[in-house]
Amino acid sequence: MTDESNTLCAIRSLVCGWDSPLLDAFDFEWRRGELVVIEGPNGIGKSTLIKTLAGLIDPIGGRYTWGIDPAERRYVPQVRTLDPVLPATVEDVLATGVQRGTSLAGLRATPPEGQIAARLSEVGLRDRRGDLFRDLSEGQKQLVLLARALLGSPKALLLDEPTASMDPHREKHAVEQLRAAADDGIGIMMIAHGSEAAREAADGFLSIDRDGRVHPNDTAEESFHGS
Amino acid sequence: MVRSLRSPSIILVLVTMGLWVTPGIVAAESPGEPGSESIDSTLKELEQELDHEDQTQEKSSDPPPAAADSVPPEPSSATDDSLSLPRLLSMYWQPIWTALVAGLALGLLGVYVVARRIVFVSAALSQVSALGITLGFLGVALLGIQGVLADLIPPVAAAVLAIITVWWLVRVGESSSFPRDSVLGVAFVIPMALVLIVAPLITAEMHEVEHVLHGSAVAVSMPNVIAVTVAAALVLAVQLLGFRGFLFSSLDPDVARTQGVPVGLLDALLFGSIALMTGLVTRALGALPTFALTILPGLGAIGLRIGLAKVFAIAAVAGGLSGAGGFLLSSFVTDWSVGASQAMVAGALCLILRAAGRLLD
Repeated sequence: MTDESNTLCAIRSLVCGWDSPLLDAFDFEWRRGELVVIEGPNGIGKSTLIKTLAGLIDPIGGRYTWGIDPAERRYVPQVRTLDPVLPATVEDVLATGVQRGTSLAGLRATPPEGQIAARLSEVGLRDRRGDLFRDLSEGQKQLVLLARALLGSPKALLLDEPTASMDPHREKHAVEQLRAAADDGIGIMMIAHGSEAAREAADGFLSIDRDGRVHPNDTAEESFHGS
Repeated sequence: MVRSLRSPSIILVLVTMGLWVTPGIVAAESPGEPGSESIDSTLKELEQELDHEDQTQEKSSDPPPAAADSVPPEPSSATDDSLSLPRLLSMYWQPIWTALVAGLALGLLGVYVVARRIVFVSAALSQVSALGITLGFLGVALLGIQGVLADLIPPVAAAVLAIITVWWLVRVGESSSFPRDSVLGVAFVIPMALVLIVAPLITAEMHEVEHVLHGSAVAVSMPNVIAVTVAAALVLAVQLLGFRGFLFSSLDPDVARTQGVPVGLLDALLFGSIALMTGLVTRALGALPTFALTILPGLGAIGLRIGLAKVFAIAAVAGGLSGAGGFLLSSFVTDWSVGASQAMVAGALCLILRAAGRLLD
């Protein structure tokens, strides 16, 4: 028995893949304020799952139902997918976090005064506001993308390896912030490639084995043995 | 994932068709070669005025040292040696104005062209347009079509093929198996080959094909002035209105999609704008200045670390300066052709901007 008002996203017999299935059908109930870590071998389909839930890939089978408005969801891609030859500053990148929808007003939306500075302060990059995004280290870029995702008060974050290029100190700090965000009611689903800090902070796991079977587990112990 | 592009495609078709066809319709109203009558008559009128002035006034000052040699080849035979800036502007306001507004629009669009690694989009669209024009003339010749329709068919065929290419470019953005630069390669090579195959069938019309396709940076016909001006105004207005949307969809298209931004529509508008301006400016000024104004100002501005809005503004200004400045350079300082001068000014500005970018770091 589940409390539907507490459900962030209900996944039913979802089959993910591009042209052919990568992951077998699975069910999962993602609750508000829950930090879920996706684990599994390289190339098995973790990013495909995140992109499917973000709406970038159509499911091959099954369905998922969001309990929140699309405007309340944010997706953070792997940082290497951003290759800005465009000389965008950190502020330029952050400001895209509040652009939304098809209306001119939505496309031209800008963050409220002080929000950009506040978010950059949270990730320790306040003094890099005017720097070019491409000049940051990979870890700093990931922090900027996380800060962008948190603009506009989202209720769900879908994160594709958000701590992959961070040193242990930055990774720990980032995971602590994500844990704090989850405690504030933001649902977080993240791919954490072998991140011990993320495992410790998680409320639940989606463990994918080598055969593409998805095992929803509640504890790190179950996840470890399940995968 | 396949997304519907019906709405963007319809908008693209309407806007592009309208502006491609306009010069054809205006030119079709006057007899003779398309686009050549108005400039000839204008030049003749101006020559008569100048002759009259020369007979009634003594020269008050000598011309600039290089002026006699530097007057663009085509008009120099029709004018005298005392070409001053005001006279030059009054005589050649059409090519100068066209180069100015073309440079503004192409300079701005060029930032996207460089950033999205589609620098061959101009070359590919020129080839596609050439194929359309050639096939159009072939159809007119084979079917014995005459009158206004005969003037309309080639540019319409070129516009249709350009639109199909743009639509293809937008679609492949979502496919990893057929990347965009490969599409540009195909769009460059295949039309070039087909033109070579079709051209021998219409030898009588090939001069006209060349005339319609490659224009002249010296003599720009009034229909082309109007078409380039209207198109540039439209492109700049669309860019001003949707600037942050275009940026977002260029910078991070996946995240833009998840936030409901119509990336397909914005890509269609962007590539449509590039196709429109490339096609019209190539016809008005020629291929060399079109390519130079599209690539070099953007390449220079993109090296600056001053925020995106200023980068686009500087690229637009550098494009306008290159277009108009190149014309003046060829008239007063060098004996280079106008198109080559425009390309060289754009190249010099590109180097200056890149150097400024390094110095400001």
